[in-house]
Amino acid sequence: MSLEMVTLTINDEEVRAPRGSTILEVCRQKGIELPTLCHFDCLTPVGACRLCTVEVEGSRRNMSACTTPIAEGMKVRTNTPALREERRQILEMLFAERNHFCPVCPMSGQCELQALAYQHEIASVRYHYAFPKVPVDMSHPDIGLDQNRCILCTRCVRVCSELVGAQTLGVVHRGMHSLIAADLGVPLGESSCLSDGNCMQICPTGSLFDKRSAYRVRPEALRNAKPTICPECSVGCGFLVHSAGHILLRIDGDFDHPVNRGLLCKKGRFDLLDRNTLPNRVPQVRRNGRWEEASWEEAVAEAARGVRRVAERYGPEAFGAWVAPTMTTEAFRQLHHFVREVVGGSFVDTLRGEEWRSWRRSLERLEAMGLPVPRIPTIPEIDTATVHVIVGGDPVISHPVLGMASLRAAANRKATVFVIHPDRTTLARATGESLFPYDGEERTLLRAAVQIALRAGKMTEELAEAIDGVTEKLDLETLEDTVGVPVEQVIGMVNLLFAPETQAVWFLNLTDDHIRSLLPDLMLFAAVASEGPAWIVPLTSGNNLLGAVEAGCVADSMAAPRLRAALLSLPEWRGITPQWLEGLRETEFLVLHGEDLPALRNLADVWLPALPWAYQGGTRTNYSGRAQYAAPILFTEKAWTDEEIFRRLEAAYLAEPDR
Amino acid sequence: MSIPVQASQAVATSSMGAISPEVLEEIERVMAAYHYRPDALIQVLHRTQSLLGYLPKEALAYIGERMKLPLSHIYGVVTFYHFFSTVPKGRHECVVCMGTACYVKGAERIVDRLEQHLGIKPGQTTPDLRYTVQVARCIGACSLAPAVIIDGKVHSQMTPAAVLRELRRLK
Ligand code: SF4
Ligand code: SF4
Ligand code: SF4
Ligand code: FES
Ligand code: FES
Repeated sequence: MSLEMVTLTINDEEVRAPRGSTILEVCRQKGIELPTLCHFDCLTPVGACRLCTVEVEGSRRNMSACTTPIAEGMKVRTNTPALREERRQILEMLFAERNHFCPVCPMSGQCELQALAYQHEIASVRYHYAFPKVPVDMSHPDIGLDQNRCILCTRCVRVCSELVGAQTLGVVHRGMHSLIAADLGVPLGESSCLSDGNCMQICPTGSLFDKRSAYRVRPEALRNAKPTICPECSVGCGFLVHSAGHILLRIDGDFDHPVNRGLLCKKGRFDLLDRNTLPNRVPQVRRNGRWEEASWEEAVAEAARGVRRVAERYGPEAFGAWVAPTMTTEAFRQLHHFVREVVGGSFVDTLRGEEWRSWRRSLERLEAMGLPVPRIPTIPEIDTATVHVIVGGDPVISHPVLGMASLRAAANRKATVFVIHPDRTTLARATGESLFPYDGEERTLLRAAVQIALRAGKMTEELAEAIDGVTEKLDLETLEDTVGVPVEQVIGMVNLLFAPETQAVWFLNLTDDHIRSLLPDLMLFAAVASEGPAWIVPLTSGNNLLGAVEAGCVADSMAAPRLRAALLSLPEWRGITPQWLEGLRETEFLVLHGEDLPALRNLADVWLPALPWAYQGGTRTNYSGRAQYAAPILFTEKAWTDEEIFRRLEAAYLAEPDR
Repeated sequence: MSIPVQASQAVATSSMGAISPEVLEEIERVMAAYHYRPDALIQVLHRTQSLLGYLPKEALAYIGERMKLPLSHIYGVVTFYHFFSTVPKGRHECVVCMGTACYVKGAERIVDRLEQHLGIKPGQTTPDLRYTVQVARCIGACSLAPAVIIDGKVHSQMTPAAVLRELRRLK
C-alpha cells in the first residue's frame, strides 16, 4: 500500500508524513513533545481539553493537534511563548473548576494533570476557585469515582463505549455543570458496569481510582510494575503487576501487549489480587489414617514411595495422572516426563481434555472432506469481522476480553452480533440480535439454518446431509413453536452468513457438553458458509489447555484405565464431578497437588499445596495458539512451584531404590 | 439487513410501572416511524414527554431497549436539553423570566423567594406535584419587566409577594 505523503513544516523544520495523519501523530513520530490530556492513542480523538493547541500559519485561531489533520504546505508551531501561556491558562482553569487537593489524592504522583502543572511551572492559580459541590460515588467495590478531580476529558466514557463496549458511562448536563454518570444516573455499583476497570486505568487524574491500592503505599512503590501474563483464562492478556513484599497492590493492563492492547477484565484486574495469600499451608501426609504435616522433602519422598510400591505390585501401567488445564507448559512437561517416562505410567489426561478432543475431531472431519481448515483469529482480526456468532456460553463472563470484542462491535455497530443462547446473557442483552432457542434445541436450530441455506441454493444436498445427518425435513412454519426462534430471524442470519462480503467470526463454547456434541456440525456449517477458511474461536476451560496438549498431557481418547495409583495435579481447580471421582475408587495410593479439595480428602495419601499464580513462572499458550512466557512476580523459599514439585518428585522416585 | 426486530415487550412491559399500554404503543409507533434510527432519539423523547408530561426512567429504559441505544447516551441527551424532565411536572407551572431586563428588575429575588417558600429550585417540582418552577430567557415582555408566566398566562411587573399570592390561589 503506497501512502500519499504530505510535506509540512513543524517549528521551521520540514517533515513528511502520510496524508490523513493528525498534527499530533506527526509530532509524536518525530519526537516533538506536545502535552495532551484528553487524547489517548487507541480512542477516537475529541479535542476536549485543547492542551495540545498549536499555531497553524494562516489560521485565525489555534488548532488542537490531536484532531487536526495535516495538509500540504502547513506551517505549524508547537512551542511559542504564547502557546505556553495558553496551555498554562488551560491548566489553571482545570484546577480552578473543580476541587483538586493533591496531598489527599490517591493518584498524586501518578496524575497527568499534576505532572503537566509541574511541567508548566504552575505555582499558583490566577483564577477564582469555583469550589463546586461535586458528587462522590463509592458504591462500586473496586472503583472509586470522585468527580472533584474530574477534568471532563471523557477518556473513561470513550474507553467504556469504544473498547469495552459496555456503554455504561456517559456525560450528563452541559458546560461547567457536566458530570460523568452511569446509565440513567445510577450509582456505578448499581449500574450495568462490567467492573473491568479499564476506565479507571485510563483516567488521567484521581477521579476514577483504584480503591484497593489507594492510600496503601507511597506512589513511588507503584512505579516498578512487572509485566506478565494473566493466568485466569485462555485469552492470555498481558498485564503489569505492582507489588510490595508479598503483597500484590494493583494490576494494570499492558497497552503494548498485542493480545489485549491494554484491556483487562474484572477477573484479571481485581479478582487475582484476592488469590494471592502466600499459603501457610504445608504439605500433609496420611500416616496410620491420620493427616500429619510434613516437610516438602518428606512429603515428596512419601509420594515417590507410594508410587513405587504400586508400580512394583501391579506394574507401572497401574500409575497415571490427571491434571487441570491451569498449569504452565513447563510443569505439564515435567509431570508428563515423570509419569510416562520415568515411572512408565500408562496415562496422563487433562480434566476437560474432551474440549480439545472434540475440536481436533471436528478439524479432522473438515480436512477429510477437503474443506479449508478454520483458523483462530486474533483480537485485531476479530475487530475486522462483520458478523459475530456466539453459540452457547457468555464470553463476556468466561473470556471477557474476547467478549468485549463482540460487545464493542455491537455497540459501535461495526458488526452484526448474533448470540445463540437460551438465556439473556450479558452479550445477548447488549446486542439485541439474539436468538433465544429453547434449552437443548440448538441442534434443531442448526438444522433449520441448514435447510434454509439448502433451499436458497447456498449449499449442496450432500453437504446439507453431512451436517444434518437426517433426511427427514423440518417444518419451518412451526419453527417458532418447537425451537422458540422466529424463522425470519434464522433466514436473516443465514443470508447474512452466506453473503459474499461477510467475514464472520464464530465463538463456540466448548465447555458446554451440548454445544460440544454439536461441534463437528457447527464447524462444518461455519466452513461451508465462509468463503475462505472460517474464523472460529474455541472458548475452552482453564488458561493453558493448549500447553497441556503440547506437553502430551491430553490423552488421545477419554478411556480412563483402572489406576491403582494416581497423581492428581489440580491447582486452581475445583470443578470435579462425581463420575470422575468414581473412577478413582480403586486407587490404593493418591497424591493430590493443588487445592485442598474436600471431596478428595478421604481418598488422598499425600497433599502437596500449590503456590498462588504470582509465584508460578512459565509458558502458557492462549486460545489462538500463542505461547507466552508468564514471568513470576513473587518468590519464596518456603514452597515449590508446580514444575519444581514434579522435578523433586522425579528425583525422589529415582533415588528411592538406594534407600 | 432486514431481520425483524423481535418484540421484546416481555422485557420492558414487566417493569413499565405507571405507563399504560396505549402510551407504550404510541411511543412504539413513533420509533417505528423513524425506523428506530438512533438520530431520531430527540424526536422520540419529545413525543414521549408530550404524552407523559415527563420522561420516567421506565420509558427511557424502554426506548433504549427498542432503539438499541445505551442508557448512558439517552441520559446524556435528556440532561443536555433543559426542555426534558425526568421528574413529573407539577399541576401548575411558574416560569420566571431571567432575561436581562427582568433580571435587572429583580427576577432573581422572585426565584429566591420561590425557593424559600416552596423549597424547590428552578427545574424542580414540589413533592406534592402542585408546582413546577422554571426559568426562561427573555420572553419578549421587557417593557413589563419583571415578567412571570403562570400556567401560560403572562403576569407583568411582578414582585415576589405577588407571585406567591398568585400561586396560592391555585389548587
Ligand atoms: S469498569 Fe468497564 S464497564 Fe464499568 S464503567 Fe468502567 S469501562 Fe465501563
Ligand atoms: S473521570 Fe477521569 S477519565 Fe473520566 S472524564 Fe473525568 S478525568 Fe476524564
Ligand atoms: S480476559 Fe482472561 S486473560 Fe484477559 S484479563 Fe480477563 S481473565 Fe485475564
Ligand atoms: S489532547 Fe488535544 S484537545 Fe485534548
Ligand atoms: S427580559 Fe424578561 S421579558 Fe425580556
